[in-house]
Amino acid sequence: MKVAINTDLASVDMMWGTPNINRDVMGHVYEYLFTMSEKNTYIPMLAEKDMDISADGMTFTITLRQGVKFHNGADFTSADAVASLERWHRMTTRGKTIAANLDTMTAKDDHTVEMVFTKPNGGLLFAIGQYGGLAVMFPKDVVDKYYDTTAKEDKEIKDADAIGTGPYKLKEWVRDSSVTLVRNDNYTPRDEPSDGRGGKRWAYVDEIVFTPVQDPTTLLNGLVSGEFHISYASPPAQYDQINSDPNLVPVIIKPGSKAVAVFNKKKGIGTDMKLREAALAATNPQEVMAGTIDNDKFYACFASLAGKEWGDWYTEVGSDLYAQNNIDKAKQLLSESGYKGEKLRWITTKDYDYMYRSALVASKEWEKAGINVDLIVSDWPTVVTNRSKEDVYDIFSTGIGFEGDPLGTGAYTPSWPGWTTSPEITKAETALVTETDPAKRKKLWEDLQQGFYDEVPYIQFGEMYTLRATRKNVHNFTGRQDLMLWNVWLE
Amino acid sequence: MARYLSRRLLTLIPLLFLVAVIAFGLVRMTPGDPAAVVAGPDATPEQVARIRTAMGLDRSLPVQFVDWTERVFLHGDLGDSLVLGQPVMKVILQRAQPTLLLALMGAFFTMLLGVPTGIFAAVRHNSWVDRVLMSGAIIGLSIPNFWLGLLLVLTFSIHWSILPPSGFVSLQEGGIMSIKYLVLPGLAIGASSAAFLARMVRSSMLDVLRQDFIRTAKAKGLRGRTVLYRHALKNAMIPPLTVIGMLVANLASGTVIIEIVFNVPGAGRLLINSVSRRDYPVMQGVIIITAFIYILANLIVDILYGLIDPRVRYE
Repeated sequence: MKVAINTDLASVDMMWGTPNINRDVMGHVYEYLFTMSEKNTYIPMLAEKDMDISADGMTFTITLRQGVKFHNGADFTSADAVASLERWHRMTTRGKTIAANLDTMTAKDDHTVEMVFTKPNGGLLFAIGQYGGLAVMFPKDVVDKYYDTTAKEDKEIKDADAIGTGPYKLKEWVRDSSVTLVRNDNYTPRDEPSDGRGGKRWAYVDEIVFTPVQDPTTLLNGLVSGEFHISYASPPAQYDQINSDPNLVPVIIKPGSKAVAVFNKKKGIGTDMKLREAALAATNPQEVMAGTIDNDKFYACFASLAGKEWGDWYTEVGSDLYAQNNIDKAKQLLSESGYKGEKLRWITTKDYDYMYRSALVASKEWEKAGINVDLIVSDWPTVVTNRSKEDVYDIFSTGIGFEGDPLGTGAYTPSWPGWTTSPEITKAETALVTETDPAKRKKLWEDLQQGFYDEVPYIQFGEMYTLRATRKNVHNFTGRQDLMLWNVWLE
Repeated sequence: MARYLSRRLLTLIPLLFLVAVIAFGLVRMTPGDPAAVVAGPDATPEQVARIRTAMGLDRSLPVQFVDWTERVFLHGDLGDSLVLGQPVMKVILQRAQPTLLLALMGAFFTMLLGVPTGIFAAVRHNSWVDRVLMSGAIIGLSIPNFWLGLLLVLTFSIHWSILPPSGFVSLQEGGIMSIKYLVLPGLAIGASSAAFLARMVRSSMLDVLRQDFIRTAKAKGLRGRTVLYRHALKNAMIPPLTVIGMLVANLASGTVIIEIVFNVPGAGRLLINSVSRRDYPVMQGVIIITAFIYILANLIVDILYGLIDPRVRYE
């Protein structure tokens, strides 16, 4: 099966970097202790059953499945799980924040892991089970091999040691050219029926080849002519063409990430809350998104920081402040602010078309209210570097996704570029870490969203959906955001 | 001669050093951070810092420069790619094959289409055949190669499904079958130079056909074909030959866009990708190697001059 992807992998080491393509390819090789069901709840994967949680919410016991083997033939045991979780704890954002209050983590026996925290922990299951949390299981000797004991640093796992437990094995990665996975013939699937990413995983195709194709037209031509079976992402502008081709099936992927503009709240005019409120008041998200995405099937405008696909996390708190489209109010707010017509330096990029286009439309709206926008366009790496420098910008474009739990997004934390230090948001965010009761967590999330609309750390224009496409002979391909090619077969 | 050569070879060293300074300076002056690219959009500052340390980018620029020049000039080692995790030399050599094959294919189509068209147009000078062929040549010159590439894909891959629309298989892997991946991109880059060559051949051929020795050849009763191919063509090809050399050099640089349109993992795409992910060692390596080839080519041309023109003396 041939899959066209837009960019090459950055690494086979899933914990090394965060680009989605890394986990969408290597997610077939590595597995998690828990994973996401169809409804985005967390169900056991390499764990035998749900976690046992003590009454005080501080001790978590995970029982591992027996008989699971790594690609090198070794048994998967609690020693591997502990080593992997320790690496995850050292290396990843989520490992650091959520396991911050971790006291001890021990292998009780060959198939039991116990984690004890100093405070109740409300986000552990999400942190180790959510796809983007990257808490995948490596063999212990691989973790040790890539740990520099003198510098106390983890190094990047190389191709030859990309050993997991998944239904596919890494065969070869030719840089910039292809990544080949082959079926793991010794895989033992779970007994439960398939449910989201969980349940029974069955590798129907012998080999999956991912080929990076930069040009979207080239990619579409390859799909139309049968050179590729699946397109990982195509521009929404190609939807009609794909839909009208009898050999192709378009798949709209929901949820997606949101087109946003993040204020610099550390230095410069972005620190003025009235100015930020004025910008929010002047924004007409419908118009911005219509100017950003060519096909209205591929975006939605709503106030919630989490889309409807995320179930209970969807909330309409603060909706009255979203989509105000009120220039007069914006002018009023501006006159109350300390803003004196300075240039608002907006850094954005054409590397991601949506960033530039949303910035262009929104800046025109803001100019009507009297905000002078200076659009600074450069390539993406430059934006990434500059957004960490408080002196060079007032606002930057980016995409932010809801990742399954309020704790999943770094965008509300003080250390992330833009530096959100709002007391209301930080208070809710901190409480969410230790709160274990789902109802109370939902309430805290609503508080956070209210804080978001009161203090405007960034402006959310709308959610964007991805277009994937397959040829007609590809069966059981799901519309999940995370790519899943087990249980998929070719006719 | 030997003294001249050794002197010229010695001047290579400061020249390349200068290139190295400029390459390093220009590349590092561009804003952007390769660690941030690898870390991805949601990465925290600590994550980026960890990757930066692993890449060795946390050291000061002068230290990095000394380290790099030492490796290049004393060990002939261009360093390792930051993103691909492989030696730069290996990375470049891997991508050299597709680019070279593509350029060769382009050159093949240039000659296959250019030379006969030129001859035919010259022989049927001022007839409708000539006009049609030369109009075709003007169109060939004017069409951007990426657009022609897309048209070719539409016709041969999608409509008729006889050739693959994109991709590349190396000679070692695919043998003769790898040619079929090169036909469309080769045609796309060869077309405009073929058009140019056709016009060159035609005018040069016309000049020669008016010469006295052609009339003599015809007068002594030689067959038309013999006159055309044995006498006229041989003489008419001298000016186009110098142009072919230039065109081949142009083809190699023209592959950049075509490599993207046809998804060929070649050197042009490598350079573009390396710039966008700020893979400094690869960018520097490509600059150094290109400069080296240019300097070497100049040297060879200078030596050849002496061989062709005895008036040139090496002091």
